[in-house]
Amino acid sequence: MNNDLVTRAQNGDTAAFEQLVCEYEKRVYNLALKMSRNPEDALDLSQDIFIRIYKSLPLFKGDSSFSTWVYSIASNACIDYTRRERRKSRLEFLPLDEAIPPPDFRYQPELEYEKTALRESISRALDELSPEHREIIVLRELNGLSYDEIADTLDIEHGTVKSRISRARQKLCALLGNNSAKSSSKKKKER
Amino acid sequence: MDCTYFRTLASASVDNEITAEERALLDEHIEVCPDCGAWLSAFEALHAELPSLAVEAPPELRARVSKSLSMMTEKKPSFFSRYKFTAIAAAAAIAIFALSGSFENYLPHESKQAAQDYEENILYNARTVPDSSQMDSQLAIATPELLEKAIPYSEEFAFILTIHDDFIPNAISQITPEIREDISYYIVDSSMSSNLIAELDHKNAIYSLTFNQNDILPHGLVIIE
Repeated sequence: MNNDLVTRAQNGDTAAFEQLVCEYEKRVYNLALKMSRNPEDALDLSQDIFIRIYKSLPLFKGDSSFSTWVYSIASNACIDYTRRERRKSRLEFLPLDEAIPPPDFRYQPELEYEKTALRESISRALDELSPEHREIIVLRELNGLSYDEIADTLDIEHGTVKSRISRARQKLCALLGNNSAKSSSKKKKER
Repeated sequence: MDCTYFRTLASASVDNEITAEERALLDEHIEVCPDCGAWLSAFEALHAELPSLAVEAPPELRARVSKSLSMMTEKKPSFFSRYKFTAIAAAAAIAIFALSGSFENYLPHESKQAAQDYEENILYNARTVPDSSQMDSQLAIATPELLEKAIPYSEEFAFILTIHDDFIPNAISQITPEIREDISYYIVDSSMSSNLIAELDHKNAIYSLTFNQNDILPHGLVIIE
């Protein structure tokens, strides 16, 4: 069905392309949102990505899957965006301190507001990752791509995907630990 | 094998991206390394929570993409159709300009460079053309010959405007072949490709302007029905 839509879109059928937009909009938007960290920019960026995809349709020859091709264009657009914005997350230049123990996740929140607070903490920590690490976490965890799909999308080796995801997760944990420590310290000071 | 290797394995294990042999090695290591066990627990917890951060795309995204597609795919009406002219009537009807000197005199080099942005260009011209009262009213026209060339591309550009240095009575019939030879510039639409411009075979087809019905036109430009 996807192939049929792609062929029709390549032949100028905009309705077919709009169906493809429906299929990919959530994943493209989530990547754009996490890379831009700003809903307004994410909307503009997503729109730009879909227009890029539409204009590039004649270049899609089916050498990779259509979804990989879509992610590649989305990823390149996001990289262009982050370069333009030159927003550097503060941990980007910090080496990963492997001596820092991971935060203790054994406590499983049961109340809804606690779960919401945890998600918010994770979201904030994700925003603080470097663009490269943020991107790979979004592709894997939010968009559910396999390591092979990520390797094709980002044009990197399978082994690089594995190590980059691991390091991104370790940084994310470290950030969660740091943020949690800062939050406790702030509360103590407030008392 | 150090802990860095096992943390990479721990991360890959939550994604089911490790082999059975690697999993056995990891399990064996975790039994003796509580730190790596803690990392594995942390990765598992993150893996459970992260997907919940995904949000739905806002509804306006589809609308905005659709609108962009429409703008990209719709055929731009030609100048003639916009003004409800027939091509033949247009030959006699596009009238024009009020410049006594060369149009080029009023368009500094930089503005030619900037000609891609039509709106800015129009305003720029309107502001920078000197006192119009000192200009002789003059020529106007898309000559029949030019129109003949233009019509095949009439969907591609808004109109062809010819501008001439000399004062020309406003009758088409009085435009001599010599004067036609002197026609200095074409103005063509920005959507026209450079190939099409080349096909017009005119070295001075340099400006890129489009006029819509409600636009403020450059000073001195008159369109007569």
